[in-house]
Amino acid sequence: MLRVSNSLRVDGVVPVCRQALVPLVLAALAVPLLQPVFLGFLHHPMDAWSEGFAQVLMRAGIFVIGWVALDLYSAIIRGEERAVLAQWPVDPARVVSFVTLQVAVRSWWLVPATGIVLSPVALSGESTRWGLGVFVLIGAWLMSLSCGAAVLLGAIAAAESEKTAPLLDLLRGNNPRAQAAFLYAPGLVLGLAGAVVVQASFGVDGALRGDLVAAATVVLPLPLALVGWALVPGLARSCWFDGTAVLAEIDARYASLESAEEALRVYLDGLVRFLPSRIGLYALKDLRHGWRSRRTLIVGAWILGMVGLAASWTAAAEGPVRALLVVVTSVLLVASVGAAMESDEPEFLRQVMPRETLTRGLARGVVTLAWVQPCVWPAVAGVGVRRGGTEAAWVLAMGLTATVLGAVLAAGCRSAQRRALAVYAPAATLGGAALAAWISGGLA
Amino acid sequence: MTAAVRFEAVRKVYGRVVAVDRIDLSLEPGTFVGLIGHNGAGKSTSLRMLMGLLRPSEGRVFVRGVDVAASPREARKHLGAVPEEPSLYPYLSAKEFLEFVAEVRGGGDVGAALELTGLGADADRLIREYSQGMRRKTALAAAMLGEPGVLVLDEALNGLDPPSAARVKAALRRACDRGQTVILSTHVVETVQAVSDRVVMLARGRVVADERVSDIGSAGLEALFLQRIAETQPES
Repeated sequence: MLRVSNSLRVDGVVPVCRQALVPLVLAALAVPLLQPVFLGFLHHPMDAWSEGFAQVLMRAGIFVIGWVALDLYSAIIRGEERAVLAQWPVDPARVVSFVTLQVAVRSWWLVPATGIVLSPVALSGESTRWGLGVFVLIGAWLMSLSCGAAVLLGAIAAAESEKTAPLLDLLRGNNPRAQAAFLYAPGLVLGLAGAVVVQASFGVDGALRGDLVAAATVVLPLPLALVGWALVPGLARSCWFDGTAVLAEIDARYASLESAEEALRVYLDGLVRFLPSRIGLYALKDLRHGWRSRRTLIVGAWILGMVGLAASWTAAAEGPVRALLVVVTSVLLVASVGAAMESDEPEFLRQVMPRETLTRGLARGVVTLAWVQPCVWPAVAGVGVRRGGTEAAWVLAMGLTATVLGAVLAAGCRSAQRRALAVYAPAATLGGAALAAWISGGLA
Repeated sequence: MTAAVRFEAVRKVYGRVVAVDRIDLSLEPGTFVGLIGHNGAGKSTSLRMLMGLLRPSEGRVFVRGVDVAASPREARKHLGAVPEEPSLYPYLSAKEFLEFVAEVRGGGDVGAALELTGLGADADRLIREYSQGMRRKTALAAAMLGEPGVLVLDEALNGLDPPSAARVKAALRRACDRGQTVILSTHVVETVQAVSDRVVMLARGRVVADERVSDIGSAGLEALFLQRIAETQPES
């Protein structure tokens, strides 16, 4: 609390208010843009709403879980509290509880914002359905906080366990083994909590009809949140301190590899290497630094790309639209790396990156194009198999359009420097919503 | 008597790089130990293992008989540490940070710690406004709070102004006289000679000398250091 009050005293209330209110205002502004895409079922008779509402609620729940899982990872595994407190005889259970509470406070807006996006359901006369939907979202938020903390602490144990070593070796690629446990932990939170939220979303209609089993699935996230919370103190006391040593091993492993050229290679390194030298050098630096500093975000977007494959795997006419919405979201997430790096890129990169806007934009654009591949192609392949080549080509074209949009927005935020991400986030949300509205109109 | 600090066949390996190579070391309570060595000798790695921020690849580290890796919280109760790059809360003042550490430790005279490091006048300013030297003083004051059994200071006197450095050295000496063990890692041989009871020299991850300072003589420490470093260089 002292830190918060000191921050308020020094920086004023504007940053806090901005952080708190901008997401809600954006959600309200996005409602008319998102309504045709996500809430198209409102034009059908009311008794046909259940499937459409469950689908949109499921997506909102997965968005909430994904957001919290990534934030929690940064806070518990690599956060400021660990850097400061790891050397003191603190009670790790209290530290993790506090950190989780910090994330809860930071992400409080998720449920109200998604509730606002769903509000046309209530305004159309189905306020109980909407209320149950918000209840599911609250459950998703609480479950992702408590179960997320438990899974991340478990990842510390898994990072060093001989039992999980063979699995981690399969997954790790060029990363140190322990890093694989941390890289995939947010995805595991998303998978586990997401499965529960999918059930809860599809249980809403049954609960409204008085089906007790369906009602139990709607309520299930809450007891699971409690179970997760009950596991946290024990896991924290046995694992939290070890996390510092594991991170030191990972960082040292990367550092020890730094001198060898071979070890500098990262994902798609080879592709960028063969670009014309005018932009190739800069793109290579950008690719390597971006991958090392933002790979959690990038991998998170790729996991979303796999969700795009799941969404595309249907013969239904709206399959390509759903898949494209996932593709657009994941592409704009990946493109945010460019903006994020503008806000905190190290001095060496600032020096080495070209000063001319066009060359710099091209270098960063090429890197973004490289990174979006796993976001776009799974959905393109899914649509190609289930709906045919024409619609697959359309998904590909829209995916590329989203990539260009994201890259241009990220480049446009350059002048904001340290606030680049704060400018990019609302711009990308509105741009993405407009693109989504266009996409749904295009197919309709 | 239980050793204040014990390294038991400790080895630390990063890939093919051996950072610390089978260190066996036992430090008695109330000893001021100067840890010296060239860059990359293994000083910081050894101290980070002692602080519990790194895990040995082989062997074990004990603080007052407590295995640092097996009982991290218990071991930290006996430790006050200043890492090479201390982390502090930027949105707390030094006084608030020390009060927090005192609460974690279960006690400690915050006013005396501030006075000792010469931070008294700036105690209510936020740490984010501090210079590097002032941050280091804050970390030193926090480490000394509550009189922990072992003080581990990794290059902790670097960047301190001469009056503050003198005050801190005197305070560390008094801490030793009260039975606390101090381990100070530094490049400055004169500092070790002036305040230490015992000097441990590291080279290529190994202990190449472990002597009582009183046995070395006034001009001998630097000569001994250079001689031992030369002996560890591979023959060309």
